[in-house]
Amino acid sequence: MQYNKRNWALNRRTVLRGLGGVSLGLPWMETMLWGAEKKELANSPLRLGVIYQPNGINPYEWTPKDTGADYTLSKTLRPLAPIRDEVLVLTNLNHDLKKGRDRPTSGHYGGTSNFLVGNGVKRSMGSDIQCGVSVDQMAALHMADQTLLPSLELSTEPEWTGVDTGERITQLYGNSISWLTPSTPLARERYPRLAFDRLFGKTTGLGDTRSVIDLTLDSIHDLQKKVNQEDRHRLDEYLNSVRSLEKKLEFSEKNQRPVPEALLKGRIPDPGKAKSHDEHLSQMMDIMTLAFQTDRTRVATFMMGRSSSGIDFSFVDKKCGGLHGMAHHAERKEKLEGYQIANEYTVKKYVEFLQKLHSIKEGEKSILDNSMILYGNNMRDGNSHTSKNLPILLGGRAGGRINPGRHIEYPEDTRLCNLYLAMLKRFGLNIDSFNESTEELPQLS
Amino acid sequence: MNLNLNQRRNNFCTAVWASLAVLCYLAVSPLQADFQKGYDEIKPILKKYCHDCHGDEKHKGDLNFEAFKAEKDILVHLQKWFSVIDQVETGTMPPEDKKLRPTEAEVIQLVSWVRKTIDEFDYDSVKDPGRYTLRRLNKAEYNNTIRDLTGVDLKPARYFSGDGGGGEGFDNNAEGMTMLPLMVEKYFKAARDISRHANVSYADGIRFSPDLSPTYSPRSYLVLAERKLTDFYNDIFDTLPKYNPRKEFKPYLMPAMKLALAKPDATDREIYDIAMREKLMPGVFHKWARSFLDAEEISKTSRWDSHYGKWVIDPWLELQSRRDSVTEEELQLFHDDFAAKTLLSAPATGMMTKPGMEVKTEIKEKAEVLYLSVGDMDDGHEFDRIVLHKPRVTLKDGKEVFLGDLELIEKQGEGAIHKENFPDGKPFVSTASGKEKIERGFYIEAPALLSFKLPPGVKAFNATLGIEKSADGKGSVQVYASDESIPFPKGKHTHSYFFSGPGNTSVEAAKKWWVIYSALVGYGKSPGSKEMVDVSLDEQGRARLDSIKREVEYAKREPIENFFKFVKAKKFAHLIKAKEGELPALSDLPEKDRAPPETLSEADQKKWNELQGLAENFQEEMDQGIRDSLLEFASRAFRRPLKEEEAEVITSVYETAIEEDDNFQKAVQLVIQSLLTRPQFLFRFENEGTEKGAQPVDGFALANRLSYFLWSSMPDQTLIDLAKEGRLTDEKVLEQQVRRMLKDPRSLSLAQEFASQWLGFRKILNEKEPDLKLFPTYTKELKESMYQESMMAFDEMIKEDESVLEILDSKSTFLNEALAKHYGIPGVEGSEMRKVELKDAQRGGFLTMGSLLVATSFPERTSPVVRGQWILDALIGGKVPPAPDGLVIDQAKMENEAVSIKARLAAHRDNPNCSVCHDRMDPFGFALENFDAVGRFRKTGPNGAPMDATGDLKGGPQLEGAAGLKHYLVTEKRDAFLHQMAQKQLGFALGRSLEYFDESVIRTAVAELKENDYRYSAMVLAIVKSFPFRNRREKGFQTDAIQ
Repeated sequence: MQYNKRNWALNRRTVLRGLGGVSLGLPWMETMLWGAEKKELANSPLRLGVIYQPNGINPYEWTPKDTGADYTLSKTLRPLAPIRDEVLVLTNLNHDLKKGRDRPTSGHYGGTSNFLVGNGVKRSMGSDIQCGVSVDQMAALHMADQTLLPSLELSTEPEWTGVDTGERITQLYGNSISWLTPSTPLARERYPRLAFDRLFGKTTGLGDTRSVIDLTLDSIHDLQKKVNQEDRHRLDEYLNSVRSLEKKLEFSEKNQRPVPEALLKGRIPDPGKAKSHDEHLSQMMDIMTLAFQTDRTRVATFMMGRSSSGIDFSFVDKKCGGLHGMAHHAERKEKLEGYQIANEYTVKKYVEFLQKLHSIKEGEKSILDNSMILYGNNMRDGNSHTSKNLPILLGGRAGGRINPGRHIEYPEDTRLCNLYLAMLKRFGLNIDSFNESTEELPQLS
Repeated sequence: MNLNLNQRRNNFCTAVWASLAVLCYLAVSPLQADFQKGYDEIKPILKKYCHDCHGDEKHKGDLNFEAFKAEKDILVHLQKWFSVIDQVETGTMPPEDKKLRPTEAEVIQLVSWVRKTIDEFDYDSVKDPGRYTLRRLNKAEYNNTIRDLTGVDLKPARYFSGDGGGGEGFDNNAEGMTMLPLMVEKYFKAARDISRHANVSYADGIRFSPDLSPTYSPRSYLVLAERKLTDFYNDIFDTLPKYNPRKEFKPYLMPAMKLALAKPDATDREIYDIAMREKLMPGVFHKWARSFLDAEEISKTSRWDSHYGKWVIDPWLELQSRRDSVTEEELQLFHDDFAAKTLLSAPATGMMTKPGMEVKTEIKEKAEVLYLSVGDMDDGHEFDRIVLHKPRVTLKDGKEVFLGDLELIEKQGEGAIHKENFPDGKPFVSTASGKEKIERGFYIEAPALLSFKLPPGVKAFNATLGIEKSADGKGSVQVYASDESIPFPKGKHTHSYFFSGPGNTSVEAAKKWWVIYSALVGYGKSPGSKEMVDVSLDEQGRARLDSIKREVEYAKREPIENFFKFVKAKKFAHLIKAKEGELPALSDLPEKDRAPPETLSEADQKKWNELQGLAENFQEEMDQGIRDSLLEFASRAFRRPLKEEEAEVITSVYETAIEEDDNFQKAVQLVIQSLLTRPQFLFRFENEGTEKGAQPVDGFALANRLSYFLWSSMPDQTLIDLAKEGRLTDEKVLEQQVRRMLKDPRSLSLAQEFASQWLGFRKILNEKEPDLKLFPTYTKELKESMYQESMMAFDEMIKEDESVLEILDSKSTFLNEALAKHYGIPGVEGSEMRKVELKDAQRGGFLTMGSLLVATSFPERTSPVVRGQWILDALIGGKVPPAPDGLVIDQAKMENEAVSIKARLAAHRDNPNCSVCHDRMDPFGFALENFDAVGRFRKTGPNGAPMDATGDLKGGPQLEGAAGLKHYLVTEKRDAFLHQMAQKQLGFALGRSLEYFDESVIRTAVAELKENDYRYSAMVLAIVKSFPFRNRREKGFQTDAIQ
C-alpha cells in the first residue's frame, strides 16, 4: 500500500473544519446563556431525567391513602412536602407481569433492564441478549446532534458479570436501564470525576485524542475490507463508537461555549471513588444538574444502585444495613424499619435534585418546569420481588404540558409504557405507541 | 445455545429418575434399534398433543415439530428439545387449558427417547470448530495484557465498565461483548494514560515505568543522559561498604607503592587484579595506586603542587626516579614516614575554626520562592541539626524581613523544624551566634527541603549557621539556599556550604595536607572509582554502561554539531534554522541546503561532504533505533508480526509527528497512544486462511488462544518465537508449552478468571454481602481471606498438577489466623495465608469454603435451595428450569424462625409442581446446614434446636452432613462432576457458547482425566489439542449449528 504520509491527520482535520458550514443544529446554549433574550428563553428545550432505585420499597408505606391535589403524603413520600406541587404520584402502573418463562419482565436482572422498556428481556445466557429500546434512548435519539452528548448514563456500583445459573440468565441484564437498541444496553459511568470530565474536562478529558482518532480511523479501512461479515459487525460497532467520540470532540470544538468557571467552582469531584454513598448520589445529581443547565445533554439517567444492590445504608441510620439484606425484610419489624428509613432517604435525595433544578431559572421558568424527572423502582416489594403497582413519581412540568402536584390512581395493572408514551409525546416525538403501551396515559396535563 | 448434554444424562441418572429410566428403557429400548424407528414411535404423540400450536401451520415460540426430519435436526436444536423435556416433564406443556393431555407413559416415552437420541449420537463425526466471533479484550485481559506488554501493572481497566457474560457463564464470552461509545471513550483515555508512562530513549528504546514519564527538550535530555551515567556509577558506589580514609588507608599504601615501583605502566585491569588478590577495595586501591604511579604527572597539577604537597611528594619522586635500586628497607622507611604524616595531619573534626558561618545568597529579580535545603555529608543525618541565627531576606530598599515572617509553602523531609524556640519554650543554643542570643532563629533537622514565598524585590538571603548544641562536634551538614528549585538533599549534594562543629586543628600544615589527601583519595566520598567499575563489569553491566554512553552520544549530537560548526565556520550560518541555545537537529539545515556550495575550495567541499555524511548517518542511526522499537512494540501490542503496510503506516505516523515538533519522546508517546486504540490491539483478530471449510489456525492465533486461555493475557516471546518458527502447531511442542504455561505464575488467572466465575466465589467480592448487623464478625479482612483461600487452593491444584477431585474434597486448605478462627481451627497465627492440613472431614474442598458458603446464602440466613441448586448446577451440571412465573409464596411462613428451615421448605415436596425440581436441589443444601450464612460451623439452628444436616435424596442415600455429601459427590457423582468441569473449562477456553458437537471434546477430556489420575493438566491438554481449539471456520464453511 502506498501511504501518503503528508495526508494523514492534519488534512483530515481540515476537512472536518471545512464542514463547519454544515450546521449540526445550533446548540441551544448559544442563545440561552447568561444574558440571552427573554423571548428566546421561552423556547427552552425539555429535559428528561430518570432516577432509578433498585430493590423495591416497603409496600405498606408508599401509596398515599387518598388521591387528587389534596392527597395526604404517605410516610415514605413525606420528604416530598417542600416540593409536592411539582411532583405527580402515580399508582397502579407496571409492565406486563407475565410474558412467559422465556421473557421475564421482572426480577433483579430482567426487571432492571426492562424498567424503561416494557418488552421484557429474552432469557439469555449472554449470546443473544434482547430487550428493547428504552424510553430515555428514544428521547436521546430525537435530540441527537443537538448537544454534546445524546444522553448521560450514570451509576454508583460496579457491574454484574457472569450468569445467574439458577435463573439461567446473564447478569448483564442487571447493569443498565438504558438500551440503545434492542440488543445493546448502554454502559454507565460510576466515577463522578470521570463523568464530570466527560462533560467539562479540558477537551473533555481526552487531551490530544482528536489527532489520535484521526490516526486510528485512517488505518482501519484496510482492516474493514478484510474481515468477514460477522466480524465486520463488531468492527462497525467499534467504528461507530469512535465516530461518536469524534463527533463529541468536534461538537465541543465548534459549538460549545466554555462554561463559566464560577459555575463549576467547588463542584469538581475528586478523582476515584466518592467518599460515601451520600456524596456519590449528590455528586452525580449535581453533574446531571450541571449537564442540564449548560445543555451538555438533555437526557440523563442515574441508577442509584444496580439491581440487587448491596449498598450499606447504615450511614443514614444505625437501624439500616445492606440494601439487599433489608429488602428481604421477611415481614420482620426491625428489618422493615431500616428498609423504610432507606426508602425515605432515597426519596429525599430525589427531592434535593428536583429542588436544585427548581432553583435554577430559565427566564420566567425553572429548569424543573422544563423537565420530566422520573423516579422509579423496578420492584414494589423487595422481599417478594413483586413488580405489580410500581412506585413511580414524576417531577416537573414538561414546559407546561404536565400539571403536577397530584396523586393519580389508575386502574390496576395499567401499563407503565403508557406513561412513557405520554412522556415521549411531550418530549416532541411524533409517535402513537411505545413498546407495550396500550394508550397514552391520561390525566397528566 | 447452551449445551447440557451430560446434565441431561445426569438428570436421567439422578435417583429421582432412576426408577422411571429403568422402566422406559425396558419398555422402549428394543423398539429404538435406530433413530428413525424410534422417531416414528413418538411422532404420533407429538402430533396428537403438540402440532396444533407447534406444527407447520402455527409454530408458536418458533417451535415446529414437523420441521425435524433427521437425527441431526434434533441435535442441532438441542436447546429447544431441552425445553421440551423441561416443560413436558413439569407439566407446563401442554398448557393448562388444553383438555387433551399426554398420559404418564407417553411422557416417559417421549422424554426418554429424546434423551437417548442425544446421548448416543456420534459427536466425533461432526468436524465443526464452532463460530469464532471477533472478540475484544475483556477487563481482566486488558489489564493483564498491558501488564505484560509494558512490564508495569498499571491496571488501566479499573475504570472500565463490566463485561457482562454469557455462554458457559464467563465474562470472556465473545458473543456478549459489545463495543459501546462510553467504552471506546475509555479505551482512548486509557491509551493516553498508558502512553504517558512510556519512557523513550535513543539507546534503550521504549520502556515503561510505574510513574508518568515526562518528555524533555533536547537540552534537558542531554543533562539527563549525563546524569544517568553518573547515577550508573553512583549506584554501584552506593553498594560498597563504608570506608574511613582517615583510619583505613594503611593496608593500601605498601601494595600501591610496590606496584608503582615495579610496573610504572600498570593498567587499570592490573590494579584491579592486585586489589582482588590483596582483598582490598578496588576503588580505594586504585586511587592510591594512581597517586603513586602518576605522582610526577599529578605533581604538575594543583593537587600535589603546593608547599604542603611537596612535603611528602618530593621524597617519593626521588624514590621513583631510581626505582630499580630501591631497597626493601628504604621503601619501608618511606612508607612509615608517609603513614605517620598522614595520621598526624588528619584533623579530628571538620574545618571550622570559629563558631558561626555567614551564609549569603543573591536572589534574582522577580524570584518568587526561596528554597532552603539542609542535607547530610553523605554520612547519614544523625546529629545533623542546625540552627539559623537571624535568617532574613534583604529587600532592594535595604529593609530586612525575617524568614519566620515569610510564608512556608512546603516542607519536605521528616525531621523537626522549629521557629524562635523549642516547643517547650527553651531557646536554641548553638555555635551560630557566638555569645549572642539567637535572634528570630530556625531549628532544622536534616534532611529537609523548605520553600518560602518571597515578597517582591528581594535582593539577598542571609543567615548565620551553627550546629545545635547537643549535636556539636558530631553533626556535619550542607546547607544550600537558592531562588531556583533544588532537589531534595540526599547525599552527594554539591552546591553547598560546608560546615561542621569546631575541631582540634592546631597544625595549619596538617590541615592543608588533609586537603591534598582528600583530593587524592576522596575524603567523605564513596570508596569507588569509575575505572575499577569499568574493568569489573559483567556482560550485562557492560551492555548497560555501553547503552548509557551511547545515549549520551546521541543526546550530544556531536556529528551534527561538528557539521554545523563547519558550515558556520565557512560563513553559511544563515542556512541553519536552529535557535540560539538549542541543540541542533539535522532538520535545522534544510535538505536543499545541505550540499556544499561550489564556491568552496575542493578540500573544504570534501570536508563538508564527509561531515555531512557523518551527521546524516548519525541521525539515521538514531531514527532507526526509535522506529525499530516502535515496530517491535506494535508487533507485541498486536500480538503477531506486523504486516508490511501496518509497519509503513506506523513509521510514517511517527515521522509526521516528529516533523511537527522536534521531540521524539512526544512523538513516540503519540504513536503508542494510537496503537493502543487500534482494533488490532483491542480485538483478538485471527488471520483468515485461504482454504475453505474448517482449517487449522496459524501459529500466532494458536499462541493467542493459548495465552488468553491459560493466562488471560498476551502470549510471551517464547510462544511468539515458536509460532514464527512454525513449531507451535506441533503437538509435542504444544504439550510442552501448556505444561510450562501452567507452571508459570501467570496461570493464576485460571483461579482468578475461570474458577472464581465457574464456582462463583467471585460473588463475595461485590455481589453477595451478608447482613452485617447479624454477622458483625464478617469483616473486610475475613472476606478477603475467604477469597484468597479459594484462589490459592485452586492455584495450588494447577501448579502442583493435582487431581481435580480436590475441588470436591481435600485434606488441606489455605488459612490465616482470622479465617482459621472463623472456622474454629486452632493453631494458625498471623495474617499471612498458608497451607494448613485439615484434621477432620467437616472442612476441605470448595463446598465448605467460607467464600462459597457466603455466596450461596441469603444476607440474613442460609438457603438450602440456593446451595442445593449451586451444587446441582455448578458442580454436577444438573439444570432445573427457573421457577414458574407468578409464584405466590407465603412469606410470613417462609421466614418463621420458630420452625426449622427444613420444615419450612417442606412445602416444596407437597406441591408436585415444585417437588419435581426441589427434590433434586434441597437435600444437597440440607446437608450443608451445619454451616451458617457466613460459613461458620454450627451444631444448633437459630431456633436453638440441634441442627438437622441430613438430606434425603429421593431414591438415593441419606446424606449425612458435609462429609456425607462430599463422599456422595466424589463417588456417585464423579462422572457428572468431571463432565461438568470439562464443559466449563471448554466454554472458558473457547470463549463462546458451546454447541452440541463440543460434546466430543468434553468426552475426550473426561477420558483423559480418568486415565491420568484426574490431573488438571490432562483436561487442559485434551482441550488444547481438540479440534475446535485448533481450528476455525473459514469462508464457505457449512455448519448445521444454530450459531
